Amino acid sequence: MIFPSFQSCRRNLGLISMIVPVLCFFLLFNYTPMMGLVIAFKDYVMSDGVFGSAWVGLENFTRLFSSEDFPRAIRNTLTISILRLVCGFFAPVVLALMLNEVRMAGYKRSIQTLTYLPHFFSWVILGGIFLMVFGGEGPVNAGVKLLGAKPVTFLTDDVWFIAVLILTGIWQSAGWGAIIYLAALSGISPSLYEAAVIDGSNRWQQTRSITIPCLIPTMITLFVLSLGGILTAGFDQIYNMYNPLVYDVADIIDTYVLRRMMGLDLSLAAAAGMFQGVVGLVLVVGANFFARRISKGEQGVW
Amino acid sequence: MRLGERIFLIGVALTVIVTLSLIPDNPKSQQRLLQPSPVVWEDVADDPAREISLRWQGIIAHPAGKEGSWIERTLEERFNLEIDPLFMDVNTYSRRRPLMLVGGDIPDVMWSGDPLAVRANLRNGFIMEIPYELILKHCPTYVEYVNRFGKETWLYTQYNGRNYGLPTVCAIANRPRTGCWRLDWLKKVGLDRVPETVGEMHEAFRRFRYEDPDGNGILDTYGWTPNVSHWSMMFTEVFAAYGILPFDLMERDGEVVWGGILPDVREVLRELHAWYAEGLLDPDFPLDTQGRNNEIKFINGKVGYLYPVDSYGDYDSNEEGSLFGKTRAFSPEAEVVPGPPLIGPEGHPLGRTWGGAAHIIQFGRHLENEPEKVVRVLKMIEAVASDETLYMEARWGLRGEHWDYMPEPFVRSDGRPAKAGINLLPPYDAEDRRRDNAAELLGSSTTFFFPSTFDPIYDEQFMAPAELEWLDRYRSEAWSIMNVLGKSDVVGSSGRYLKDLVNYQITLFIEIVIGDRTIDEFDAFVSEWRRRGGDIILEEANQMYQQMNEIYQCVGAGAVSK
Repeated sequence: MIFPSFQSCRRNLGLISMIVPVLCFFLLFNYTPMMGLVIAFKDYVMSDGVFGSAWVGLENFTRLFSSEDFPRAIRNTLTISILRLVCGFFAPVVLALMLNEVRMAGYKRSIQTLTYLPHFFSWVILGGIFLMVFGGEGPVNAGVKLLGAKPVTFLTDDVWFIAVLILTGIWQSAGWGAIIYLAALSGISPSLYEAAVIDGSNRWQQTRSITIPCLIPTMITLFVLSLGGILTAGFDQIYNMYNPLVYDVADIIDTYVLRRMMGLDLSLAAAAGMFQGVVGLVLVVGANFFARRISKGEQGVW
Repeated sequence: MRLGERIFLIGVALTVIVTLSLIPDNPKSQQRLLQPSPVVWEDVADDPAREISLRWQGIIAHPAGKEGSWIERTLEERFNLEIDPLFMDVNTYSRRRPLMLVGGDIPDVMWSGDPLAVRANLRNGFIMEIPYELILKHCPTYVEYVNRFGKETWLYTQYNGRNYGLPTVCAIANRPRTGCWRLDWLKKVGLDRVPETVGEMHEAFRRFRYEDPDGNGILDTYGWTPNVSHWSMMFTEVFAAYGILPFDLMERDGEVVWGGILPDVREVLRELHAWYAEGLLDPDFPLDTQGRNNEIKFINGKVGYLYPVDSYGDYDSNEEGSLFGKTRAFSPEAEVVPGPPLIGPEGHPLGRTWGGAAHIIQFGRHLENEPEKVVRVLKMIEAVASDETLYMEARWGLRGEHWDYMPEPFVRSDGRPAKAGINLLPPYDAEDRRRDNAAELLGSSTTFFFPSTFDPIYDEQFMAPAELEWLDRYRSEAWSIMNVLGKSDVVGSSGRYLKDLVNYQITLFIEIVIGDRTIDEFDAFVSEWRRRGGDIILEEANQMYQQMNEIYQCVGAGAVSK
């Protein structure tokens, strides 16, 4: 129901008054700026302002899609995002499950801290470190040489570069992602486990039949939300790690837009941003629809 | 959410998008921006007795600038100004500029680094037309020097036959850039002098790689780690020796061409690939996209050659911060010497030069209502350009109080040796406060308020004879080759195509050099380069080349010099 009745508004006046500041915040800082998206349909001239600039219909989108590098950027963005999702989505789940099995509190806490610490490092620093670690004379290649193999061009080979990108991305974010799952795990009623123990189930059976099913709603929520970002493949990481030899696979929408922005071509950037947003919205709504369809209305974000 | 509601919402969204995209084109605003300036300059009277305020965004040299510097106060007093300077570094500038301009905070005086920025400013209605006649009338001396040291800069300020800014020059940039060598390594491997030809460079690299120049018993050194942090430095020194600037517009038989697609490029790429295949180049060189790693590898003694190292000061072993000083701190036996441009098949040295044409000073469009501000600034520029004392004061402060000319190298009061030439005087020369002092004295940089440098006219008399001799010996103007239009982005369509084309070319060149692709793929690259917008750029570049003389005639700069 979009529009509530007058009576129900009156009944819930107290609750409504509490949410008004939040709504104002979102209206002011998240929805008002969205009006600026009209510049995607305009030849934006800054001195004329957002509303004074001339309309150009779909010209900016035509320009975007007819350019040589944009389709490639979409392809790369999708490839990297999907790989991240496929390879990285379960990493925090597995980590959380493993941490959940650790019984020594001190050990568990230090592992947890160590795994989510990388989340706080900027990619400017991490990029520099990984360039060194995976470089021709870095420790990884020193190990490779010790094994008698030829050094591997981790950072300049298209396939290896994507692998390094995905793996370091998982390393950086898995610990942080596990926090949500750990919270969900702590919410599982101990009575379920007690009942299972009485029925004679071992730890693996408990994990399979209680822990994982209890995590599925959280996983679905996070999966649906992460689909919204499928056209943002992680600008910070890529910008700090890529080099001319891997432009073919690492030039993503964001790096493409950045190049365009240098010439203050804000209309084109807005068009690209709007494209990212609309695709993300469609994916989120679609994924939620399927989640509800499959679970017969029990799962899903809304 | 019920199905009906969902369809309703999707319908609303679709209607909005379709409506927005169907609103018809209205080209009026662009035409309005290109209208001639409404100012009738003959009627503009600037009363020197009236103080005027100026919001001044000068060169984005460094952010530590401070308002109220000695130079700022001097200029304010002399020209009855109230300057509100805006100091930024490159990063702050790129982040802050769009927000600042969109928010309506348009400086009165606005520095831009390249022609692309001028066109963006023009397109967005930030800057006003500054007719040639106005500049000629108020700045005859300034124009004379600009024409002498870098008349291509007039191409940076013009659009569609009108002029939108005051061009600036940097006379020393007419000299080619140099590389530098580890002389102690050269001696160690049996070479008694710095390589002069491409062949000698090849031989030196070979020995650096395989004859253990650092004497640690391991073959862990390389000849060279090519600089890929910017196109202007990528394999440039070798290409230049062959008379090619691979990322610039060049003139061949009266026509403008792109250096990177010339047939001779094959030969150079083949040569570079041979060097790589011999193992002479640091295999990690494609990773050094952020700039400083090349220098670090030179200082650490991993490679024995570095490009570009242009500054005389970098070869001063007494200065801890110089390249020589830093390298020596790492290996005490190090000797760092310049490597002048190489001799290629042409038989004489050739090196890439940026050219004296430098940047652009623009005036905020709102000054159409206060044109006397423009006139006052032009008068100030002319006064500084034509008065030696004022010129030096605008760059360095007061002679005898802030700086002085030292004919010989000397020892500072704190025991540090100093070179001859212009030196800041105590307390401005203190090592630990150098930046702060510069900020207090100069504002931000020596070209913040007066944007051009005319070295041969004024500065060179304050250079030590040794430095002048050094410049002629290693950076002689006679060896220069430069972009025929100064900067490639003077071409209108460059904003749309150039960056992607350059990236494409960088990738392909590196791939050929390291052997990921063969030289046979060069022809395919050329046609692809042309197809992706290169032909459009070249067509416009040739048009501009034809118009160059017209523009030069407007400012009395004579014909295109060859």
